[in-house]
Amino acid sequence: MVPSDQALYDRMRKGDQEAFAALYERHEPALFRYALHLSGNHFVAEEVAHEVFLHLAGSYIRFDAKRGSLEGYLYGMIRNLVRVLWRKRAFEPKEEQTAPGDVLGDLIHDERTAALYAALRELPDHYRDAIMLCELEEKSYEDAARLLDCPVGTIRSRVHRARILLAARLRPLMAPAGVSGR
Amino acid sequence: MNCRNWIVELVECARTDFEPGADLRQHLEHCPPCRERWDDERNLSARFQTMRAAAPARRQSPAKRAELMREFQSAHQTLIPASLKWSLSIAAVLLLAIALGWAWRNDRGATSNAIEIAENSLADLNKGAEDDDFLPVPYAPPLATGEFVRVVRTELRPIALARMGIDVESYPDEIAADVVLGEDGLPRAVRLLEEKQF
Repeated sequence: MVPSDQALYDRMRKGDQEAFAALYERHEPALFRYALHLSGNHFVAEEVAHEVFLHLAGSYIRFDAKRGSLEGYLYGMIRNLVRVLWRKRAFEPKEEQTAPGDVLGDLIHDERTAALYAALRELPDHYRDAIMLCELEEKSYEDAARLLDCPVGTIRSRVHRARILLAARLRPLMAPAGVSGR
Repeated sequence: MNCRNWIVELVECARTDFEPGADLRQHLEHCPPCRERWDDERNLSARFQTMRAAAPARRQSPAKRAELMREFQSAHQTLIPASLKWSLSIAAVLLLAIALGWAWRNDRGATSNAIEIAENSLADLNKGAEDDDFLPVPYAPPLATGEFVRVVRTELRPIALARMGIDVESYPDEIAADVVLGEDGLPRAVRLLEEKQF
């Protein structure tokens, strides 16, 4: 039987390193991907995901199970850290260099994907959070609602509205040549 | 069913990559705005799908993982179990209480000793003065505990004796005397000497 996040967290707090490693293996890839999609920057995503687990490894973690799930807490930390870096203008996604063989990095530099990332960054925070989780992390509306601590209907509505805004921004790039600007 | 309702359905179809039902297909054929929206949604979904597919190409960094494990070890090695924390806190409070009590008791003992010594000194001084014919000077400030005194032999005029509260009728002229002076230079006691002692 696979132990729950809460069970692993409780063991981890008692000093069980295997439990910490299990949490890392379970959540780090998704958290990195989420940070990458939020920031559009490979280096920033690596650092932010690492920072979240450094915080989790430390003894001053302030997670309270009564206020939500551990997964929601970790995703919240990723969002907050990326936002802080955004506000400080600590990175510019367009200037990033990708490593050879970095499929996602190459994709970020694709014109249409870059435009999509730019459009995602310009979305209001609550729209972006919803669409990142539901479209790029493939979370269900229910899971996203749990992670963002809001009703399922609100998530559905935010995703639909965000898609309208994104589609409008991308229409000139997506349309066949000669049709753009209609 | 109006376009607003169809759009909710077509967005979900585009998101989940489901083919639209017959009713929706029929609506799309006759509604150019909804058809345009359908194309936008499908393009967007295709772009998201490409981005999702590219993401798993990344691998976790072994160096970063090792750093995290070291950090975890160092953070949790120094942690003291909660039960031990309580025991240590209680022990610390008890030790503090004992130390304060001991200090208070010593301080009180020292104070009472000092008072006792001072009282004894003054009593000795008075006693000594009586024994050696020293007359205490009335209204003179008391000597402090451990204060040094010196005895000065001098000749006192009657007016000086009067100031010290000593009856001067018996001593119309200057008279030799030993005067006990405190550290402040004020007289505390006087012994009148007979002529023969000079």
